[in-house]
Amino acid sequence: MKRAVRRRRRMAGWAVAVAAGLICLLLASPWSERMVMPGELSPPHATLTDRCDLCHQQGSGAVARAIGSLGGDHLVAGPVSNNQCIACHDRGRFPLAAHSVDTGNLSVHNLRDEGSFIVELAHGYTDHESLSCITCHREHRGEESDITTFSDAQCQACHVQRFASFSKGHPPFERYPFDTPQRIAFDHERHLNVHFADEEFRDRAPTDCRGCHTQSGDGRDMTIGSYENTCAACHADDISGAGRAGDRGIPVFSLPAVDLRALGDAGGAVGHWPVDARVIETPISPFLKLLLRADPRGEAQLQVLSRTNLLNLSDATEEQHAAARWLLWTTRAILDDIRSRGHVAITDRIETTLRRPLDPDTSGALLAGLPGDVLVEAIGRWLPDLEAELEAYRNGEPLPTLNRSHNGAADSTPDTSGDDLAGDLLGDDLLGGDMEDPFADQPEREAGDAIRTPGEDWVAYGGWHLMDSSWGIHYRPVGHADPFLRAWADVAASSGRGTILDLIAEPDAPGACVKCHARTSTGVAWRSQRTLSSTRLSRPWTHFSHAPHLSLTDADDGCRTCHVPKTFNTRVNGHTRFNSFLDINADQCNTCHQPERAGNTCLQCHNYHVR
Amino acid sequence: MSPAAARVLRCWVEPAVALLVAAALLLWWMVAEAALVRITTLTGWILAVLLAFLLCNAPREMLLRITRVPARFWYRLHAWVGILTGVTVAIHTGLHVPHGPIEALATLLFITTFLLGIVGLWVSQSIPLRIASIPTAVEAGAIAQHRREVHQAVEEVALRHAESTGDDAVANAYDRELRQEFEVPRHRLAHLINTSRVRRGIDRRITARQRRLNEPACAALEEIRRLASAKADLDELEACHAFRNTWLATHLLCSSMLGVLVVFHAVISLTYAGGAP
Repeated sequence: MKRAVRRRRRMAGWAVAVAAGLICLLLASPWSERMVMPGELSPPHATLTDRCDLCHQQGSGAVARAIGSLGGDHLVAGPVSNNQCIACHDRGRFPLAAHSVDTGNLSVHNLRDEGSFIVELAHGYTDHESLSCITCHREHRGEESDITTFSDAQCQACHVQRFASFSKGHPPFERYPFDTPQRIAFDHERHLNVHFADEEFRDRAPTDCRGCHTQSGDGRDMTIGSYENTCAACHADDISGAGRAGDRGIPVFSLPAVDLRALGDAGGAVGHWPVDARVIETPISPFLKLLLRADPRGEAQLQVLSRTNLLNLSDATEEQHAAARWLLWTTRAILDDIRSRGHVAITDRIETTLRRPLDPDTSGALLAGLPGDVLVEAIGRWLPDLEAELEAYRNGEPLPTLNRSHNGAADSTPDTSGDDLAGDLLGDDLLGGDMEDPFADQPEREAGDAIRTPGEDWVAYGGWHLMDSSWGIHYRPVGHADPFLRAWADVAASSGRGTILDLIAEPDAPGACVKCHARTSTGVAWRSQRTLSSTRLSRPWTHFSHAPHLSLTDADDGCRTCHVPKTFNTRVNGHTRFNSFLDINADQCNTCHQPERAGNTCLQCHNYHVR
Repeated sequence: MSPAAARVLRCWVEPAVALLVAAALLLWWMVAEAALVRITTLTGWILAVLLAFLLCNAPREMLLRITRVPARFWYRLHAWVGILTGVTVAIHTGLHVPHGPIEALATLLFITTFLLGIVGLWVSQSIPLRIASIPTAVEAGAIAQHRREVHQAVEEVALRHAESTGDDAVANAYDRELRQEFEVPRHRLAHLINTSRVRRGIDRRITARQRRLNEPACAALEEIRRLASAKADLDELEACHAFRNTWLATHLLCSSMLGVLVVFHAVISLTYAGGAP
């Protein structure tokens, strides 16, 4: 009996020795990685099979050293290094925190009570600040494994189960999928039910939603087609101005109208100014304001002028009179500078106002189309004595307040400053004396011949044109995405001064930019849709792919199976924007998202890593 | 403990406790399955304890001597712990063969050992009864000696008959048809599965000879029939002992190798597992 026991023990001993020896032999062999590897890596990590050190860090224990000495340096024996994961998988500033966000900013939804021994033992973590990657992502589970698919139970390891399933108790969708006004103020309901049904537009209207929306490359999003393929058929004339009843161009450089009589009565040199408030009521254009601000006193003077009615200065204060005079002389100085130095004179002033240099591309977009000859012609026509007047003004010589009306007839207001020159100018022959008639060389005009140059109708396809009727140089948009308007709007938005932006962003402004493009807090949303990444960033907790759902739409309703048009008007920055659809009804999802059909796990719609 | 109480303990209490523990483990596994619960770690530690108990036979024998608890208690405990270990391994592996070579080998070895253990339950119940039921009661170590004695006895019967009667019919019959049955152990598998085919075959051959022989020769053949039955008993006895020994050796061999692989797996797991900055 004892011999049998001894024999068995000897046999067991041999078995142990053989097995241990075999393991040591294999550990020292070229297959050592395979020996210690508890399973093949998942496909995304399959190329790392022979490089343990890319994920594992060297352990400090004797066993780790022994394995390393047996298998070689490449056989790093230690735990998985989270830093190695993060090196490739960017999870933002809080990669190891729950949901990869600052847990201080997380709303606590139904979290389990932590701290008990069994919970710590069972879940393998102690806090939400430093969750190891392998808490969820388990590798070495074979080539077919998917380390990014998880069960609801894994979510419920932290979150107390609040409802049975997606179909039983899931909260209804709120403001989904559109929780913010769209970047294009497109009223789907009105277009679908009114415009597209209109006889006039029916032949140009899309036949279904896919006429305007197409799948993104990965099938997740439905993108909006280009302007040319979607909106242009009906809205091209809105931009070029062909269909507009009002102004088709924007006054870029224009002389503001001033109550010259009152200003002359108030005293001080004004000189010849062609735009009298009694004849025309042109305000200070936003573009001119931008240039005026470059003057050291510009900001203060414009503040005064903002409280001043330039069209009637009879009750104005001395300060307002002075500001009006500053406006006229500074405008002259600007125009004279532009005439001398061209674009550089403008960009210098813009840079001074913005307090930052303009890059060449921006400068080009702002000014490249500005025709110098038109500008010089305009200045010469409106202010023929500009140089002499400026010199006289700078030398402190008295000047009369002289206005030339549209029909070329001169009108004068006596300079009440009492200067001698005023007396000469107020003689019987107004244009006699020492000062030459600035319009003497000009051909005599007939009454009603106010518009002497091609106007905005002449530049039917857009561009610069002189508007004698308003003493200005106007710009008529060339077409969609007009670079000039866009560049000026962006510069104005970046400057924090809304005047130009306000001019461009008025719903009925030439170009009609904000008829469709939403006005945002930082300017105008030029892009019709957010970039895909930003769309996903705006909804970091959920994801949805359109591609697998498109075949489920009703034959008649199409996309309206899920997206039911409904107009919600929202006022943003004083502009109306539309949220075009009702919230998605979760019951629609429930018809397919059952465990035995399309599945209804948490992570089918929710993201764990919000970044 | 009275025999009735022992029977209740053996038939009801032990299976009930084991089933409850197994059911609790399975239930917990189903609830926590695939969750963040570190089920493999927990079951791994449980397995370490259970396997240590199962594999460490020597300490068990020492405990047996110290506590004077009957050997059958340790045997039954070993069996139930083995079954519980099977359930725990099922949870630990998730009812899949692991992907790692060592882990896969360890799992296959465990399954083999576990099945051998199930066989062992049958062996431990049936083989002793079989051995006890064999009329020729011989110790395992004396079977070969007894077989040689039976062989000599049958040759003496044939020789004696030939010398006394001058008739070599019995000797010829033995030499041509029965010698092979006595020289070496035969029909082990048939004996193991407890079939009477072998015994009936020898009987038929002897009976067939007896029809053509005179009375003294028939008497000699009857003596040989008795010796053939004794030889069959010895063969059956040896088959039972051999089967039990083979089972024990295989179970032990598999257990020993499993122990090594389990230790290796545990060391590797503790070394590589876990996350760190």
